[in-house]
Amino acid sequence: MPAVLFHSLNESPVEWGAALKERIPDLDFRVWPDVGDPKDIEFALLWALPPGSLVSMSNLRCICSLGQGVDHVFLDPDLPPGAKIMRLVDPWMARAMSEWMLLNILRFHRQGLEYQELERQRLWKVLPAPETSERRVGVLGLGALGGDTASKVAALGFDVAGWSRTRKLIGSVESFHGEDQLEAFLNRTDILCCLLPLTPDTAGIIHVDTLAALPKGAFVINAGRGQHVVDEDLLAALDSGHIAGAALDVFHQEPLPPEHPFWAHPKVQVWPHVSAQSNADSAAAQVTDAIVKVFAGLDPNNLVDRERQY
Amino acid sequence: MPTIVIKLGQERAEGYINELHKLDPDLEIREWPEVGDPADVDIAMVWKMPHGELAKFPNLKLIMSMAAGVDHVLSDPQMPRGIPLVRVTDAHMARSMSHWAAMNILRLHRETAHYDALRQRREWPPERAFDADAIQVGILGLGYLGSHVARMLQAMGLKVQGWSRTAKQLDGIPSFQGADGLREMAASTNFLVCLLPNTPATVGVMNAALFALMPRGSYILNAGRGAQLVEADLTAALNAGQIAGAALDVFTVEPLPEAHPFWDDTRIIMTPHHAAEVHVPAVAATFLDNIQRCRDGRPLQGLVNLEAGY
Repeated sequence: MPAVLFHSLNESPVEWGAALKERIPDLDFRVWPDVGDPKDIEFALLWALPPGSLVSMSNLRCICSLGQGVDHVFLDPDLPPGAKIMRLVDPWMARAMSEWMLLNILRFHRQGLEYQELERQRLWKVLPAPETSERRVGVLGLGALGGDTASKVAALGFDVAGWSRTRKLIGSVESFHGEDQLEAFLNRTDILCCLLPLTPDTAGIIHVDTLAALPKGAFVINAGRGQHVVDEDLLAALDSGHIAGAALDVFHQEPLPPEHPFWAHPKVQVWPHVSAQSNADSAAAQVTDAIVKVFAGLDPNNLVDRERQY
Repeated sequence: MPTIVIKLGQERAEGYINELHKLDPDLEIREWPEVGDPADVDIAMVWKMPHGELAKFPNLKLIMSMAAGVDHVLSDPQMPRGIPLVRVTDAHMARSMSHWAAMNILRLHRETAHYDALRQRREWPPERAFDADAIQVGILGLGYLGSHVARMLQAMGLKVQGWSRTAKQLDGIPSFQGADGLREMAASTNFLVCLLPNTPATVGVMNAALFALMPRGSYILNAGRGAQLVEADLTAALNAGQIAGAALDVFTVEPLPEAHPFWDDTRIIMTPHHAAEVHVPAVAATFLDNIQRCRDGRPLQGLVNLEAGY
């Protein structure tokens, strides 16, 4: 039987091995760097494997990302050419992500942080109320995660638009797509939510010009990847008052280094990458299905385009 | 000429008078206590009118509460009993209440207070997955506001059930009635949201005995009336760990007295009675609608059952 290779920085190989062997009892499960003969490996389940590690696995047929994102896979310039790349698409994870997004949207919308500060000062004071129908939410990325968030925000009565590479139709969500429509999308967005995949095209998408295209007093929420944001540009826009606040769950470097200015910035909510983690059971079922298909010579679900990188 | 008397906090009364005059410039509106001849008054729009004042209008045809609750009118021992009483039933207000409930359920579930504290210390905790399925909402009160909140939380993907005095039919929302139904719902609810009207039957409904029936580590949200929560019982349940946290918008005494122990309790999220924010133009339009219905002799909207007290 062909072998499966596993690598992760924070998920347990023991738990993964047990979960997969429960479903495929005679599975040959190897944990990097104990690869054995690299030619045995046909399926690799991994997160952030050092670049160049896969090059000798000439029979590798599928690389499965241990998460929704595949940017960590494409950091390796020496991917075996015959290997297909897939990612986990976990409906459970989309629900968790929407929860975190709604929490942060509503907290900005309903002045949750201002009321928290009033509470700290023991002040009983009602602030002027924002009107929901006048608050426009914009979601960057309308994939499995962004699509779920956009439709739930719309269900709460907000005016919602989404921007994606290609046109997507989701209920009452106004659709913008492509480079040409990005500015129009930003111009009408009071709360910007980033759930894009990280690709060469989307890296640094939240920068000085895109921030300036948002209306004054807009909010920025990022749960895509840290690399979507040019940190200095966001800080400058917060300090100038153009951007009213930011909630960030992802950073260029994680954990966020203690000296990073985001930590102490009064308008930034730093979250320690807790927006959505994949669910072990649901992920194991998906990986099992993929292994069975790949070993049978079939394509697994949720393949990624190697050109577009998502 | 038939005259409307309005009694509200001063600045807020002016806002309503302006909006009503935008809709109908011919309305004769006087702000209490400058009522002129009491015999002119056919409609009283009130929030916390001093007791005995309504009885002074001999030609009164309609009393309008300027809030969803009518306890402030019914508590007047000299309230003229034969006159119809209506309350605000406005979709903007219901949506605002839904947002308050959604935001605070998510703040409690995602342990925002804990993450705020970590941020203060620049601390990055180990990875953690939150289970969206862990939330089971139980709503006390399935009237105009409660049913709206129930449906909106359901649209967010949360599991929702509700309890009310009389049986209610809401798709996909199990409904409970009576004392036994309350106990039954509490046993399977870990986010209890109170939106009940203030009547003798609902005073103290959230007490130690009810908390004890809920799963350990449950959460309490109150946007009904302060009298429905036994405040000392909540503190005791928080100290015992039976209740893990709370979000309160209403209190036994408002504004909350400076010496109240809730101010310093980080397990309690507090807002100053603003859960259902009022969008004045929208509410003014519902007021005008009832004014016209009353004067044309058509059926009223939001008519209160004086027997039931809501």
